[in-house]
Amino acid sequence: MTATPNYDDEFDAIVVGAGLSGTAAALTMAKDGLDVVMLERGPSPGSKNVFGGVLYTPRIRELTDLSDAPKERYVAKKTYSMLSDAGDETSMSIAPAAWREEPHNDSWMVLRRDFDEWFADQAVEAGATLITETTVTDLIREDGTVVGVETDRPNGTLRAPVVVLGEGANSLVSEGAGLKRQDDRDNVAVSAKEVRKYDREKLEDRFHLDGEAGLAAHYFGDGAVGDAVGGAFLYTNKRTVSIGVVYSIEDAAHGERTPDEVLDQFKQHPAVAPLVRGGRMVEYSAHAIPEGGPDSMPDLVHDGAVIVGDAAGLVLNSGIHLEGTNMAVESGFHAGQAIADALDRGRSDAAALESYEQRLEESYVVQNLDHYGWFMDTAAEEKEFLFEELPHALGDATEEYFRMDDRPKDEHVSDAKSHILNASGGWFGMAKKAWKFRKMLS
Amino acid sequence: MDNGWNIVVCVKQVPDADDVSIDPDTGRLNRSDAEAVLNSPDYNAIEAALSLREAGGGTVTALTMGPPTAGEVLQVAVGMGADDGVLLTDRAFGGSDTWPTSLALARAAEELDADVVLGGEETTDSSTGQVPPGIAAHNGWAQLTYVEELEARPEEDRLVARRDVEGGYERVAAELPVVVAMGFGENTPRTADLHRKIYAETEFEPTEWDASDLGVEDEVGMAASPTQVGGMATADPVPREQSMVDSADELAEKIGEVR
Amino acid sequence: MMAATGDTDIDVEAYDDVWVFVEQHDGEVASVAWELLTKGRDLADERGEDLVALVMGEDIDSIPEECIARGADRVLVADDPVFEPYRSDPYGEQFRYLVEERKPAIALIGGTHTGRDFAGRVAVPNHAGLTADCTELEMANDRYEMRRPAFGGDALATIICPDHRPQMSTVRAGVFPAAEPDPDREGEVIDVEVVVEEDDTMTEVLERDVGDVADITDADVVVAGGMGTEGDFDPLWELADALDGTVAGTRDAVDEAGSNRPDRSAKLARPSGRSCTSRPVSPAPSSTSRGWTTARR
Ligand SMILES: Cc1cc2nc3c(=O)[nH]c(=O)nc-3n(C[C@H](O)[C@H](O)[C@H](O)COP(=O)(O)OP(=O)(O)OC[C@H]3O[C@@H](n4cnc5c(N)ncnc54)[C@H](O)[C@@H]3O)c2cc1C
Ligand SMILES: Cc1cc2nc3c(=O)[nH]c(=O)nc-3n(C[C@H](O)[C@H](O)[C@H](O)COP(=O)(O)OP(=O)(O)OC[C@H]3O[C@@H](n4cnc5c(N)ncnc54)[C@H](O)[C@@H]3O)c2cc1C
Ligand SMILES: Nc1ncnc2c1ncn2[C@@H]1O[C@H](COP(=O)(O)O)[C@@H](O)[C@H]1O
Repeated sequence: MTATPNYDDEFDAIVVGAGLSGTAAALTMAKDGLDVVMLERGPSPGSKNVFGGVLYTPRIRELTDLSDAPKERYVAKKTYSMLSDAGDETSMSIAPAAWREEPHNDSWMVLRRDFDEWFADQAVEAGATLITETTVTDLIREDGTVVGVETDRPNGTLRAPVVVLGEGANSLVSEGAGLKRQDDRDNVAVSAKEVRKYDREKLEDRFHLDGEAGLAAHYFGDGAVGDAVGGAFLYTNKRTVSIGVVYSIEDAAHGERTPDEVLDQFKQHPAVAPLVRGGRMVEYSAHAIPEGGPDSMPDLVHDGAVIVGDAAGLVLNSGIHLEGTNMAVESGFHAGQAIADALDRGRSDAAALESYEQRLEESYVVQNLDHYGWFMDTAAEEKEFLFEELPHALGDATEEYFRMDDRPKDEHVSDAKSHILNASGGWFGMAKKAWKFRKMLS
Repeated sequence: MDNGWNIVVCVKQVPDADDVSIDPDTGRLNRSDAEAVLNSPDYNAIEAALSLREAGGGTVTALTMGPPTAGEVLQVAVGMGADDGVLLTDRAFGGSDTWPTSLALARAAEELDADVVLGGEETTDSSTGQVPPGIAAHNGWAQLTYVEELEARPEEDRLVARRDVEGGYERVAAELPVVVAMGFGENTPRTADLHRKIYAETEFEPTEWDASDLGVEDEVGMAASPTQVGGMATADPVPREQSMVDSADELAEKIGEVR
Repeated sequence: MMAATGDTDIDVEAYDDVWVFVEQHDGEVASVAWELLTKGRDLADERGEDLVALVMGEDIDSIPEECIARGADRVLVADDPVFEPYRSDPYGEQFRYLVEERKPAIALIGGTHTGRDFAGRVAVPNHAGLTADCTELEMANDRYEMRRPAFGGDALATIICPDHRPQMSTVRAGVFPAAEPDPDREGEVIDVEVVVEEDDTMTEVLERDVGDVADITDADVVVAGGMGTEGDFDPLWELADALDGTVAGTRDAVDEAGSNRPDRSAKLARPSGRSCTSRPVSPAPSSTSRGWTTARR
């Protein structure tokens, strides 16, 4: 055979996983003139990605020109609905005029299969190398320093000064190599999602959309995910709708229903059924999402390695916000810069890479995580109130408030109030809860 | 032969069979969304080629005809261990049916001084299985199709194949040069070595030949193709229903009802 | 052996008659040949031409008569030891000669391994159009149209061959009914000149073992198993018994199976996956459910 070169230490960095975080790191480094190789287990980046749908693009827009990116629709409207299992729906809808203008609040529905591939292509165009169908199985360490990776291929070790772990939520490599504890069970949410395909015109009529405008709908309460802590979502793409449920794995393990069944139940809710009627299921997937908040963040920097994106627990799943894409990209970007700086000084030890962690701490990423970190705990504590009593009370209250009968309006109003008060434990309880959840919408 | 055989393995780029689908709404074949991949039976051909080289030395050259992007399938072959790759690319080849396709490949095989040419059983897109016999016929060489196993006999200048003959097998010895179509799934294709794969995808450059390099510019393309695709319809989707039954007899009865 | 000639100026009017290649091994005719005689007869009648059967082999005395009984007007016989057993090179050279001499308009060949091996080779020297794996053949829009599945059976392509002759097709087994013999039919048997000599051949059959293995292309009912069988073919045998059918499996499944395996040569998987002649009728029962699932067409 013609000779095969050896690529050990031919690259400045190895990126594990060509998802958003890994690609952002590779792109940042490549733009800085570094030689980077991305190792991706899928046949193409994003091919295995299941994700609800809103990509937040502030940093990506700075890293590359987004105008040709495969995007589906921008978020023109968000709705939040409380669903009770009795069939009630109480909802709020937000559609600021500003969202209809560029850059559309940096919120786009995308299909990750298309987007991730395109994004990785940007990194390749900037000079990075993408090697697919290659799964990293372990890290090579010498004297505690990470000096390369081991893959599932023959002659499958590859060495480089720095390894970037952007392997996503199921971070087997980081865990296996001891860079990260295995997530506690209650720090992980499960999700089930399906994508249904519709005629484009029918879809736009059904959701009152035109052009690139899209809807991001969020649902809570026992009508959405039963008695588990979590929520459900519905996002409109160009010709498809993504519908899914996300809830705490603890509930999933203890409850009787599978994610599949929870999703089915959600789809049958009277507020949801007409929205997903017809069409054809083109995709189904189930997945784990870390939701631990700042406490479960591992050490991000090691000798010869950094952890980025979901692998680093950088997901915000507050019930109101489900964000990971922006933090994945942001972390990849800061990691990339930190690595470039360190290599510039001829170093790749933890101390030299430390600036990644500092930059991230100064960015909105860690600040947001701190801000919302308490939420999951509070939500779990108040699970019954938030996910069962409140949706019912809201349903009953609004029904009472607007009831058409022979009683005077005053009576309806006061009955409506008492529905909510009862659920909240009277005025005192209500005030306490309001205090507790004040941050939820801020 | 002192330096072993010149082994040429033909590989074709096809739309990923798993991605080609009928859109039930429009009834149209969805081929544009499909990723372009190496025809899966060709992995068996590459594996056979590499094993032959291991047994008797020589070189393996991957050969493909297709648009410039088809170079990707040469990378796959080189990644798995082929020494080199040749890309036949030229607008003039467009619209070729199996006759000119096998002519171009046959001329290239001659140019490469091939002792053994390997191909897959058939492709997953148009699946004619006619190209390997076509190459053999154009060059007046021996052919061996539906091959399960190969045994090199360099001392006799012959290649022996075990062929699947539907209901049994036969062992056939062929004089060189010979064209072999490997049966699908007859061997286990090796996984590319990591460093070789990086080399194939970053540094390897295929040799490119156009129609005039092969002297076939007037004998390829639509004009030289005896067959034409006169139309394409999508097969009617089969309506499906599911039900559970408890025994083989009950199932047999149900099948009887719908047969 | 002769290499191909690229003769593109063909007078299509000079070609007529419908030919059927009668595949035989050791005097045993492949059943698809009788099916082709049915279709060939229709086409010949429609075109007002003759149906010609082509038989090659050694000591094949009774086959020509049977071809006539089953619808052939003429049978061309090339009887010589060089044609037994089948080899592509002598068969191909003999066929090239016959086509050059007699100029058929249409040639039908069974889509068996032998048929496809043969057709792929013989189409080239005559610059004939060869359509693979046809499931429909008809005269329509004043021309001969061949239809064939592509893309794993999702699409049906219509192939035409306007400027070249003969128009050749391989045809899947089981598409047309076999022609019934009529002992009173009359026809002509012609012994053709054999133009190949053993010395010119490039291949030698060292061993041939065609045993008592069921060939699934001959079966009416195939019960097929994939990896879902997890090595247990018993339920498939049960169903096959009930349906009076044959058991087959995909390669990996067969390799995994124990003593109850179907014969290894009953390989089902075609590269395009979905294009097996006989579509599997039932997905294998999954390990989680002991029941059976049927798919209704
Ligand atoms: C159902 C669901 C809905 C969501 N909705 C939203 C939303 O609306 N908005 C939002 O902002 N975020 C959302 N998220 C979160 C978001 O998807 C993630 O935060 C984001 O994808 C993280 O990016 P990443 O690059 O860290 O990981 P990933 O995108 O998971 O990428 C990891 C990559 O690494 C590869 N890989 C993994 N292991 C290996 C290995 N060993 N070797 C080689 N390659 C490997 C994978 O194939 C993958 O390509 C959602 C998540 C889920 C599951
Ligand atoms: C729907 C459709 C139907 C068609 N039907 C016919 C038909 O009936 N008759 C006909 O003559 N043409 C037909 N064609 C044209 C045919 O697809 C092309 O000639 C094609 O390039 C080669 O045929 P194949 O893919 O069937 O190859 P096959 O003969 O099935 O391929 C067998 C092996 O030959 C090698 N090989 C084939 N093509 C190449 C290549 N381009 N480069 C390198 N190696 C190669 C590979 O090893 C492959 O595994 C059809 C095309 C379409 C789109
Ligand atoms: N530019 C090209 N160079 C080489 N081969 C081509 C080119 N375009 C099409 N082909 C091949 O010609 C055959 C017919 O393709 P098409 O023209 O797409 O029907 C296929 O084998 C193609 O891969």
